[in-house]
Amino acid sequence: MNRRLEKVLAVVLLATAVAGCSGATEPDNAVAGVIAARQENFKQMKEANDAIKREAEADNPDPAVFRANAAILIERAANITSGFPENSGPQAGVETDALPQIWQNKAQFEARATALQEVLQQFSATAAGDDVNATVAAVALVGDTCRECHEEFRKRD
Amino acid sequence: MTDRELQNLTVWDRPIRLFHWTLVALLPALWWTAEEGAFTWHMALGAVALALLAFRIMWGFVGSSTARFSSFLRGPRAVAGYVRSQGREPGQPLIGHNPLGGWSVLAMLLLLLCQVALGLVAGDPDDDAVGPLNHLVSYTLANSATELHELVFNVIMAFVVLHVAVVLGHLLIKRDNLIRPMVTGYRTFVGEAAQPSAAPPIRALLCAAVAAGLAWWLHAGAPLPWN
Repeated sequence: MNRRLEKVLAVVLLATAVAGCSGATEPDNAVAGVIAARQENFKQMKEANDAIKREAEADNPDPAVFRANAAILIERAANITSGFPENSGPQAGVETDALPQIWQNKAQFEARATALQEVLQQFSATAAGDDVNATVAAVALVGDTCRECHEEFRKRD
Repeated sequence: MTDRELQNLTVWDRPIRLFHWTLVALLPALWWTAEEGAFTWHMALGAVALALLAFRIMWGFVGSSTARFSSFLRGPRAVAGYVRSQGREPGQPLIGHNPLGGWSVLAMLLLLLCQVALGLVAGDPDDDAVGPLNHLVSYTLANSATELHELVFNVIMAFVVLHVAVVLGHLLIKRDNLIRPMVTGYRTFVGEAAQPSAAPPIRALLCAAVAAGLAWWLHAGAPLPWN
């Protein structure tokens, strides 16, 4: 075909490609914000649980550490379910470890989040008491609850 | 053999060359798999690194002469003498690691060993992947090991950069190509130079088998028959 037609065709193809790139697959800024917020929420929960687990191994665990971090965990656990609105899964185009199962088994996911809140309330009540040994014994249950949900709903490699 | 005759000597045996270049491929792969959260791969590659290091340490005692620690770990006088001799005409041809390079080799080996050891116990079982020996240590230790594992990587990188810079310096400034001998095993010497002694291949195979067995066992969580 002649050179002028070739050039026009190239420009048209290029323009189509560029237009196609800015389509529905581009991540929504609002969704990106939701995902970033829930990741930060979990990161803070991990830090609080880290502090609890390390304290549990200390020779003379300080109840104040358990109480303070339990309070943080309770506050943040309440944010979990609201961090996973519709269309904030892997198809949103933002990097996330959330599995599609969260939305497919929404009831189960929410049940686990509720279970965590109950475990945390129990832990907090134990930590508020005088029995440090009982508190230390209860630490594993918190981590176990975190882990069980991860195993079902978070991307493992 | 006259003073001016050239001879090709085997400076680096096959196990050493294989060890070196496999490590060159492994380090970026280990970094990348960790970055991407591909921990099954990361730990498998880590097990390979462990096997390589175990082999290298054994080989440092029973391998060919240039591979042995006793041949390239020299005292402070030799190191100082080498440093002072830089910029002057070389006297005796150096076969194998120079006194300064020898200690940096040891430093890198120890750093890598440290990194592997930290990785074996690192991780948080409630969060994500854990090293195969994580269950044997306290949470506090595992927590520290995880942080150190990330820190030591940076130290290793610093040594790698230094290592590459020095090798390039030898190539570009001293016109001394150290890369080719590490690929082919050969180096050309002028005049008198003794051929380093080679270790029999069967010895390499035996060391490799022991190293692989050790790495496999550790990767499996160090199971004991009475557990």
